[in-house]
Amino acid sequence: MTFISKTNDRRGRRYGRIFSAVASVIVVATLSACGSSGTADTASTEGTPQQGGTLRVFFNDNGECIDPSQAVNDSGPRSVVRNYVESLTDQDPDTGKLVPRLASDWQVSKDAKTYTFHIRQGITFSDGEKLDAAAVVKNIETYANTPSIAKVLSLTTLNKAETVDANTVKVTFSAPNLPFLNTTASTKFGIIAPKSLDIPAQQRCSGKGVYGTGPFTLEQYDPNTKTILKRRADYKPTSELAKHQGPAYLDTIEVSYTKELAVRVGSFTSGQVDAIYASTAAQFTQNDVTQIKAAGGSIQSISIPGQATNIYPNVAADKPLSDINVRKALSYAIDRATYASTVFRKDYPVISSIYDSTSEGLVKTPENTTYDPEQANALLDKAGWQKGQDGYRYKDGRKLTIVWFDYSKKVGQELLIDQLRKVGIDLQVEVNPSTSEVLARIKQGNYDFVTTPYNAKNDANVFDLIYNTKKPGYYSGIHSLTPEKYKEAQAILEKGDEGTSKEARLQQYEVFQHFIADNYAAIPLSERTQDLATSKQLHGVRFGAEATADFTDAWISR
Amino acid sequence: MSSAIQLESAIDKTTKASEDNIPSRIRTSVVSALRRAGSGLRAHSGVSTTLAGLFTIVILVASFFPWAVTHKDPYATDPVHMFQAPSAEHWFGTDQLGRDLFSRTIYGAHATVTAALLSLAIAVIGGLVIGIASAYVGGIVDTLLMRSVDVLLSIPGLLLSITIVTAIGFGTTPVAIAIGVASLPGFARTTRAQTLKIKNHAYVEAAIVSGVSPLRIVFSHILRNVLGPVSVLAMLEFGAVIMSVATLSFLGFGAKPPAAEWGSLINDGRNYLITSPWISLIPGFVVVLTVLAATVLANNLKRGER
Repeated sequence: MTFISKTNDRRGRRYGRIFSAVASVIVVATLSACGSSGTADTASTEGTPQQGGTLRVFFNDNGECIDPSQAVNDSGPRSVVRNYVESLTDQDPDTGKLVPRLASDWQVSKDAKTYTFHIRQGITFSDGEKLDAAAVVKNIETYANTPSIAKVLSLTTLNKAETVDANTVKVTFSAPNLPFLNTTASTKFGIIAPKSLDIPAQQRCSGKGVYGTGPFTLEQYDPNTKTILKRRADYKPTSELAKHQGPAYLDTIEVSYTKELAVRVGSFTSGQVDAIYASTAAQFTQNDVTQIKAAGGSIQSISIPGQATNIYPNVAADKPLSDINVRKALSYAIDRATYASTVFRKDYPVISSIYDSTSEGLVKTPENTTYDPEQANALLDKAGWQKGQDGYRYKDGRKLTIVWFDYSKKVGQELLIDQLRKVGIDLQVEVNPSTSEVLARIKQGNYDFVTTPYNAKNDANVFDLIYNTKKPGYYSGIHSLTPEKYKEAQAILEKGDEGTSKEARLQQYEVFQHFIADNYAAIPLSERTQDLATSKQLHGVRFGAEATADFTDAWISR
Repeated sequence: MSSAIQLESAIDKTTKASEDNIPSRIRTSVVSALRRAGSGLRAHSGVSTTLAGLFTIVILVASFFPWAVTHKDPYATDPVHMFQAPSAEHWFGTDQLGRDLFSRTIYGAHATVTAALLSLAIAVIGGLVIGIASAYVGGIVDTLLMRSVDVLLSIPGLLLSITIVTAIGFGTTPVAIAIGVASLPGFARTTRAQTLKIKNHAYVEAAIVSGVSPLRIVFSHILRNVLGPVSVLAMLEFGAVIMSVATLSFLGFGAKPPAAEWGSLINDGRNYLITSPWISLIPGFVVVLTVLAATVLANNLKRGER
């Protein structure tokens, strides 16, 4: 019975939406007739900040968890975390440079095994507890003792974390571990009050009793309705990346969640909310941008450091993509510039590597991102796939059919189907929205290529997730290389993780990228950005290192 | 007719009473214009039937021979020409990938109308078998069959179809089967009622007495007389079935992309309603006109049946 009412309700809302959309056609038509498209991109830094006000934001994803170390989904939950919890360091999203945050200074030993952090003095958590070396050690130890979290935070090789004096922490690892330093800037490594750590990990997800040092406090977290953040008057500024040093300007931030992009855009254009986030799987399209600009808003967009949206082929012997020539042809048949401008929007960045353009240490591999249908045709001919009557290619009576397995329907799929059809590849898209079934099917290898996962990480070792892991959650990396080659890739990444200097590590990741490119184990498809639309009243929103929104400097003009 | 005229004059009075209330005036004038058009069509039902018939023929031709109606490839993307408004080149405009919407609508007719016909066939044949069997055999068979039909009737049609599609998989054919099963009870009930009526006629009794085999009686006496009302019902249901097919495809249970179906065409344009309304609206109008035409034809048939 609940199912019936749910369906009806959803349909009702849909029809209501269509009706309101039709109604607003007229409004937009009038607006665009006046020629008020606006060039609002510069508005965010203008004027003198005004104190007070409530910021209303629409996020795409509630994440079901608001505990820093467990909120690993992108955008929504992590942006909330960023505003009530801080990390030891902060990272400049443009340069990738680490700057002090809760730690005023740090040293790394020559062998990259020992890290010493000097903790800022006079900072308190919002429950009144003092931030000191002991509190940081307790954070590190608690995270290291939870295997799933330890893996994400590069804490698996932790020897010990100890207090040297009241404000100095020494962290020792059994192996060189430079990735650890970058994770200290992540929201996942948010430092929370010692009392909060006594709560079991599962219960921390609700945000109840979780206190941070951030410019806002978490007042209410309800994934189904809204999240409320309140300004902390006694906030001590920590990051030098912030535009102003002092408590936040805004009194309150109200975050609501809606999966449907059209609803978020509609709420924005009607002035219900001041800012909306786009999902990192469905960025603002040209159509959305037109509406947002017509409403006087502006778009902020940043490429998310980490894995781009890549094609991970299945090279099992009975699959067509086991032949490297077919993989090469597939890559040559993709017109990535058109893909970016059609599926996303006109100024959308075009992919040039298996990493997104903001990632540290990326190597451009033009060979893997060139569009050349003639070359693709020649390679397929060479591989023995001959064009048949219907325009598709055949070999020994078998059609060149490639199955793209994905978890949702996207416009890009239809474009790629047509692009590949031009060289005679029959691309079939199979969609299954159930996460567990997707994971199971990828594990079985019952597909020709997948584009998952894509992960945000401010370190070049993000590919550890699928190429160097003892117990993988995703098997797309394993299926993309033959077993011997997979071992080779693992070895390269292991050496990268254990490099004792940044240069040595980046050199190793360069080797890795060439290895992946030469084997066509990952074929770049599109860049992944985090998009945020802000109204003309909202100023000063800053993107953090992992494309999370920081509202410390944000203010609303009246 | 006279009551319609009375209503109209009543509306005229209210219009005069609220001269300054412009929206309500527009609404009442639209209503009275529609009513005038409606009664006009009813008076000249020949015209509306002819129009409906012509439109139905066009849709049927389009759905069986889509390649004869349009030469454009419904799957060819052309990103340079995306979101183009209807023009001489693209009659229905282009969609978010620059595909020609006219040819997509025509190929969508192919998918949607054939699916509707398939599900009607399932519903009619299933309904006839169940209805005749339960009425002619009677007794425990009648009770069992009719109670299971009652169970089906008690579940809302759309919900039942969605449940079936989820169980047997997505795609045009599963959608057709699901809707066929969901609309089967109506046919079973009509057939049973009709069979019960005919069963008691003297000529059937005479046939039984003279030793004609039951199967022969069913085929040459009962079925022949049942087909009339059932075919009218089928025609009436045709519009509803098309609507259901489009609904399920709108909700994403239909064919895989990039295949075009009317419902998925409307759904595809949903996000672009404000900037490019034709993507959803034109296929939507085609669905509305098709259902309307089928209903007008069926109503005429029903009048003839009486």
